[in-house]
Amino acid sequence: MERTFAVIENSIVENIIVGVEDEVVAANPTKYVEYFKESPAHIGLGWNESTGFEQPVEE
Amino acid sequence: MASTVFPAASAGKTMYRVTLTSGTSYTVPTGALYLNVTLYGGGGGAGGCQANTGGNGASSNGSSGGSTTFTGATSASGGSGGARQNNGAGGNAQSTGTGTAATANSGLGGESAEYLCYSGGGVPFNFTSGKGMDGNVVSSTLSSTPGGTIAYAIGASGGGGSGNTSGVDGGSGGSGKIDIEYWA
Repeated sequence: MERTFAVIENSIVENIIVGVEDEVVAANPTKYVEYFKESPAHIGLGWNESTGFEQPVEE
Repeated sequence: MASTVFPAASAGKTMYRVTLTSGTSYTVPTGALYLNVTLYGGGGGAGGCQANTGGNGASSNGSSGGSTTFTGATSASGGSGGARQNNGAGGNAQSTGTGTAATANSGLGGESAEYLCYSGGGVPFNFTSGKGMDGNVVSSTLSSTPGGTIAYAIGASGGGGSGNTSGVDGGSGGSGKIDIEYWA
């Protein structure tokens, strides 16, 4: 099963993609961070509102 | 690089189609000088449904799907996440329906979550969260170098919003894909 990765630029999650080659991740460890959809808070970084990524709403 | 002239079909050439559902690098087939690519962004997840808050944690919106990209082609953004349903009607749940996840690599939005309950007075309430939006679909024609490699990314599915305590989760969206058509 393909692993899911967050693509991070300037401390913002710019995209979430399916599948990245291991060597690409190894070469860019701060750009590609494995993403677990069950707990978006694992990313711990800002969301890019202009691209539509939203944070879970807390009350 | 984009082509400004639509390529005419050459005599003796055969049209091929292939769909990319994962991976990051595409090798241009022998003889393929132009590619027609259609990008499907990841589908958004539906919102979560929480209809008995009474101190339970709030439901959350669905997440947007990821963008699908292919160097030289116009990117396809993911679909927006659906809105949460967070109603304090209370009462006891009679039936709940977790939103169905969209098929992988379809780019479609996830199905809404549903919650039916009766209030203390016996009045039925049916709550439904917002459905996830389908990913954008964009086609491009680009010139290509046989044997060359082109980087791409498949947009991930948007996660379904959480129903939280005693709530119902929204369905997650379908991941994106790339359809490629070429003559060789």
